[in-house]
Amino acid sequence: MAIRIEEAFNDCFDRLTFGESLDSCLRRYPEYAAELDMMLRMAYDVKRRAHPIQPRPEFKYWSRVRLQGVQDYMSRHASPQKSGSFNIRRNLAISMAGLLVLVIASSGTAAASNDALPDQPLYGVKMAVEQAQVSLATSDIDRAEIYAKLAEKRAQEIEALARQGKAEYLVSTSAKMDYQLEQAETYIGRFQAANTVSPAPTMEATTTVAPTDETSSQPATQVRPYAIPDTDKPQVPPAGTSTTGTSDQPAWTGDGKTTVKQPVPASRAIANVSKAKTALNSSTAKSLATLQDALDKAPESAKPAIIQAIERVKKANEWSQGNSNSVQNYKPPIIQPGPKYIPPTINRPNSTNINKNTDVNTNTDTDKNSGAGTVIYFNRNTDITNTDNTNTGTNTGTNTGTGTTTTTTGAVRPTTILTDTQKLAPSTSITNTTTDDKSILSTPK
Amino acid sequence: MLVEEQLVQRAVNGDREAFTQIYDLHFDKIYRYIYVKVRSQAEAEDLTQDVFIKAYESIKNYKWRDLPITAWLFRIAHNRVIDHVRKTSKEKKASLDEAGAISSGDPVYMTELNFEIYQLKDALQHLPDAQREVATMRFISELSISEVALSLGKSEGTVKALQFNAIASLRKLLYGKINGY
Repeated sequence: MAIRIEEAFNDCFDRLTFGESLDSCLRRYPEYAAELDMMLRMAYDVKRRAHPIQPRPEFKYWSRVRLQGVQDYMSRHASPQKSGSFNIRRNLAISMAGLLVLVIASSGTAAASNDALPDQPLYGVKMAVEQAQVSLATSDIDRAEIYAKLAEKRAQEIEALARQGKAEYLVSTSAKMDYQLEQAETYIGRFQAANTVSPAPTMEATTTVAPTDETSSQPATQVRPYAIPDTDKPQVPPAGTSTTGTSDQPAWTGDGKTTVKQPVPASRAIANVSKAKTALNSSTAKSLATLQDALDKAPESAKPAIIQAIERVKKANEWSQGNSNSVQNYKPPIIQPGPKYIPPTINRPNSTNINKNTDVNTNTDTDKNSGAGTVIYFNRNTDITNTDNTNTGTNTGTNTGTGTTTTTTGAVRPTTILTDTQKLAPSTSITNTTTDDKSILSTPK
Repeated sequence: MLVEEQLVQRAVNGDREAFTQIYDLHFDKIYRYIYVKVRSQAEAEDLTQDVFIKAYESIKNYKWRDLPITAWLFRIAHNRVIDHVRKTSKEKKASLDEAGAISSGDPVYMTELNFEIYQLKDALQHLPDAQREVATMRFISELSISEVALSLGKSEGTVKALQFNAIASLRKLLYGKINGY
């Protein structure tokens, strides 16, 4: 009996969620491929739109503290169920006030809580002190650095918990670390977005960053989670809008208030981002070592949680090494509300994307690129489901010149304007059979 | 016994840390579920907090075999939202200003995000109740098909049909009618 389209849709949606590509899913149901293609794109559009809906960190934190207040209250009363929620809520304010006074008045306790683990009474104080540190930070870069440090502390806690065999606390500690790494990345990305900082140069692209198939006049793009890559033609913002903030343009803070945002000078902004990424890189490198140590000491039951934590820290570590395809760096195409839906195009293997690199096709001057130029491939992520911005592409291009060939590991979308010389590409020496973009950077030695 | 089930059993037995872990695991999902159903961030925050306090008050009576914890929490959230909407249904509907994602600092980017969220919330309001529930749980709170089915007390087959129809309806509402969908 033929499978129904609802079943096929559900199957494909789950497969996409677990990492299968859209093409692969559609091949499973050729009879429904066209309809499934549309519907799955729509489902991902809904996910993408909903993704930014997140509780405010400060609300999440205080809500947790309030819950602890309720727990304190109920634990002090023999029959909490009988007392009813009205009484609980009525006394919540008293519990909260007591807790706050306790936290503020216990600075000595705060110092003593530094090594507390999640199963210990002082751990709550430790959390409150950390939250206060975040609250006192004056800039996104400071916040990012603090969160990086806090994530490192969580890694140390995981190691201590594993060493002491307290596996039951690993999941929550790991979740906290995940959240703090995410915050560190988000604040760096947010700073970049606010100051339109070009991606920090990677090891592979320290001297040259080249746009690939798009003109450099396009605004910097950012990758959103759940975004279906639309590589054909990024839409530009409506006339009259600007993707960069100006000193007289109020910045929306998300809570209905506005502030006048002064742009940071470009050189300082780049330095700040570089500093924050270095801090995150250093912190995650230490965390990796700590977690690896934890993995060696942990009982078998605790290992999955630690392995998961290691994977998360690895991702943050790779991110901090300077990719530019982070969630925060992506400037999404603006979806114009209207009656017509133009489905975004998926970058399929051997698609027109390669042909769009007109520099390759039009370059006839072989003298200029047969020298000791450096070839850099910018692999582009083409997987609809790859929401973590890692690059799964491979590059089979060859460089017959005498220069070096470098393939980036991240999905890089450079934005720097190229000089004519930099745009030059060898006319015949590269055969790229993948979907990767390529560019040639002439760097005479 | 699953790790999550063990965690829940500890919470049922009065382990506060275990309940806090459950809270950490489900907080964002519950918040997103509530957020798209109410008018403002403040309402979503109040209700989300209420859900977890209510859950803590009731956890002693919880039995895993009746309902997995995710489905149980979403039932509490669903009932809490229904109560709230009933009380406030005559008040004004959400405005664009109320559609707030976490601020990223870039006003243009934030305006785009909030407009898209506003469109989504508005489109969801036009769906039949059952489709809206399924779409919210499945695509916004990202529950599995079985979790949605258990939360709503429907069969998985019914939920699959509802989610497909919900997506078709959302497509019409957000992008217009094309090719019969």
